Amino acid sequence: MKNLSTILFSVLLLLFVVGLSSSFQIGNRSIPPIGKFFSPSHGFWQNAKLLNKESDIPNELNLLAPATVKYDNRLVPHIFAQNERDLFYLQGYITAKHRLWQMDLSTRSAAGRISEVLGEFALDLDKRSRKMGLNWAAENAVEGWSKDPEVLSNLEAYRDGINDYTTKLSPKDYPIEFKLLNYAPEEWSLYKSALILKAMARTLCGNGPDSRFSNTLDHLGRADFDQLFPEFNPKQSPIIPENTSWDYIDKKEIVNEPIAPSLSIGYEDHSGFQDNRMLMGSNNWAVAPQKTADASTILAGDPHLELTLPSIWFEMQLNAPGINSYGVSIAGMQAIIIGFNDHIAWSVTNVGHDVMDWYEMKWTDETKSAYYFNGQSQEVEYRIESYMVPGKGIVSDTIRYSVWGPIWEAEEDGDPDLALRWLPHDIPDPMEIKTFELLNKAKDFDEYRKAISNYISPAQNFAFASKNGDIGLTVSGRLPLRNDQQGRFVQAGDDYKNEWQDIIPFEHNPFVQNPERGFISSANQHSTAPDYPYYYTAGGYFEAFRGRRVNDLLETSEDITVEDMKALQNDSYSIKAEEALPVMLAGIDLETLEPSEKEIISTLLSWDYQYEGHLKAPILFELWFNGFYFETWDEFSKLEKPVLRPETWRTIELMEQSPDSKWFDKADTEPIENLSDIIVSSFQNMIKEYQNIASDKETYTWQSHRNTRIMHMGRLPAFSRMQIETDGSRNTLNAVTSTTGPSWRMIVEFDETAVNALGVYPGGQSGNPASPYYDNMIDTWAAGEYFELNFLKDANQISDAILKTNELD
Amino acid sequence: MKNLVSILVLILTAFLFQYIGPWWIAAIPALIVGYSNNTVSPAQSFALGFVAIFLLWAGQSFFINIQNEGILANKIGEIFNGLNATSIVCITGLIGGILGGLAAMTGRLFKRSFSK
Repeated sequence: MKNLSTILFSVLLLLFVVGLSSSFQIGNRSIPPIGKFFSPSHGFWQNAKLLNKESDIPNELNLLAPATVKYDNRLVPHIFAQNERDLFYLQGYITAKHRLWQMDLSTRSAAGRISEVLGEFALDLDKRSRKMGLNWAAENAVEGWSKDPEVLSNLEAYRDGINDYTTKLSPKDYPIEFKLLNYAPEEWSLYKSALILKAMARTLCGNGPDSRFSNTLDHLGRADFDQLFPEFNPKQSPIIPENTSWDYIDKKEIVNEPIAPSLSIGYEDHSGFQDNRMLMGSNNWAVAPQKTADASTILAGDPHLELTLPSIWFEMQLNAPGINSYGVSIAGMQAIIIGFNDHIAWSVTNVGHDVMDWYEMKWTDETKSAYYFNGQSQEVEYRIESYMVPGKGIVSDTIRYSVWGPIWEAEEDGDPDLALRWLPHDIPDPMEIKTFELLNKAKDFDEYRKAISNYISPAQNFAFASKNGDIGLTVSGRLPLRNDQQGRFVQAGDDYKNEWQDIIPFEHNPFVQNPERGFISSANQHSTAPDYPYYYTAGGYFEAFRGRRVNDLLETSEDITVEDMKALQNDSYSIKAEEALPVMLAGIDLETLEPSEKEIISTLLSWDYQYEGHLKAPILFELWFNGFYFETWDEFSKLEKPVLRPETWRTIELMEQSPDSKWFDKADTEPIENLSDIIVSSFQNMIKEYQNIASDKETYTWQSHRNTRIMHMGRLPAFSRMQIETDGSRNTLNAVTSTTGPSWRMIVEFDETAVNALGVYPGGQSGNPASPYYDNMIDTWAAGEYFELNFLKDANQISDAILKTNELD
Repeated sequence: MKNLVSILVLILTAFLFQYIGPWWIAAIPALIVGYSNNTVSPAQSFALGFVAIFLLWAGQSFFINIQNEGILANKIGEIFNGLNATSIVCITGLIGGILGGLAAMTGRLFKRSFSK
């Protein structure tokens, strides 16, 4: 009896220890090992304890020379090193110190390895990443960079810094997400830095809706298609001013004949990983001394990306002989990506040119082991992709590769298999990896141009301003040389003539230096007017409203100050509403309305098209316009194949110019409707919809409706910030949507004596949810306010903002 | 008095052991203390181990939580179905308490088995 209870309680103790050491999966939720997770000496409590050491750098690092790391009052590190190796080593070390889990998750996401830690439900996401060949692209990048080992030295130093941090990290100090998901950080590598770059490419140039364009063309026929999908908006104000002469371009010859596209591409959506191209965008601009109040030069930039916690950006200052730069970096890449130095400032926006094309495979037989190419049979290459899924073991998947790239095999019978040709897959020139290092060091326009001539992808508009008063902008990145219309639709994959003809030489990419108008700008609109010698639209995405707004305002402004730049970045005026709403209101007969409807109309009539968070009018307009849009394009709703609807600007153009257009007639009704009929019926629907959603009307405003949230990268609501109260919409310069928005607002002013810089991003420097620096900048950002950036001259500069100085030797 | 000493010794040794051992390391000193303190019944031994490790774990987390102004504990509470920071401190103590209690009691039972 005595022995029995001894055995019983021994077993109970053992079960308790083992049970609370294991993690479980309940549905999509991972339950951490409860004992380990709650232990105050091992689990999450240690992450709260770590805050005491958040700005401490241990003096035991592998440095070549003494260095200094200062932290300011927003936990921004200022690194002062005596050589570049130590500088980038410390950048890696410090980035890992604050953002290790983010770095792990970003690389897992790109490499298709999320299911390893999140479980089977993430397997489909992983399979898409591998189908897209992101891991292959990263392998190719490392292969390309490695051709010149010298260019890699700083990226290697960065890697070593990360690994020196991670290998000395005791499990009790792992970022809390590792503890929640019960896994450990891995060694960093050049391949992982390449994955980070390819993940950016997926976000910014990984949308190629060629199959949708093919289906749409097939459905409409050429005449209607051309009418509804013109490649240029006549009202557009392009990035490079319209009167720019292209005489200096001796256009590269296109040898091959244009080819007819493939039509009716089937039911599978091949538009890439996720079609979020309308949400991502950016603004940047610079004004020359002639237009500013103090004869200073000002540059402003705000990249619009998915807003997450931790934020995509990590702010810092980098200082070593030959380099003194400040700005934001991406966790996993060396150098500053958007920022400034003592001489120049730069910021980037995305280029919409199409660099992703799809080719229809023509198999020699059902085994799909070979395909026709130039009249001959060519064997596919097989790439086995394996996934380590917890509780399921290794899952394998074979992806076929063609000369074009990975082949997406159709899931539906009878649909064609399409091969993906994507520019970021290509083996790069080694100098690619030096782009941002050189830009960090550049002193003038020529050095800026030289730095970005190495840039490949994702293509960006690099805005530039310098201390000596120069401004400029370059559409940079490798862009395919195409025939007219080539790559807009799916092409036949059996003919080499359908290949990109070449890459457009960097010197021929559109750029502008010190234009007469005294400013440069970009907001993801068309790079040029239609007279630019190369065909580049090809179904890429170009924003229709923000570029016009910024150019309108800069054109008419004089004596510009930094305050004006703040107002411009926070501008919530919508040209879409300015153009569409008057037409819609004119279609409503006020006499026939009920009092509650009249109230809604008067709210809209008195609206100044500003998407302010506390207003109701933007909700009414958005609901109404959205309903109007889908009712107008009702013919597209019934199609089972993935198609595209005409763009918003084209819809508004029809409203303004062709009220009796056949497109306003509903496809399935007897009477022939015109613009007014659609306006009236969508108005009625809007009233109903509004009454349904806004049950508590007093507090339900635009910001509640837009519902902006900044989600934790692991989608944990507890680590996220919901219902952010701020202005803006996707078509305003302040481009805040439900999940995306200005991810870093920066304004840099060069005057006679100094560089004055402001910045803010909706997050915080620390990746640790226990830290006050995890999300401390969100409220400032939401209020449209800024922080003064502490750009230090050297390690000896005294500043009140510096809270901690680490001397390392 | 002897029990109070046992509790204090257990808290101190478990605290030190936790610097080097895994999360359940407190079970080792609890087993030893339970084994050596043979003036109490197995049930009393459980209570002794429970109180000691509860105090240690709840105490440690209490102080960390104060320093952190509840930032993290509130977020962890939200993950575990909307609990507040105090509950998270209590749960932490409870897990430690059960560990210490079970181990101390098992130690006591071992002693009884071997000493007949």
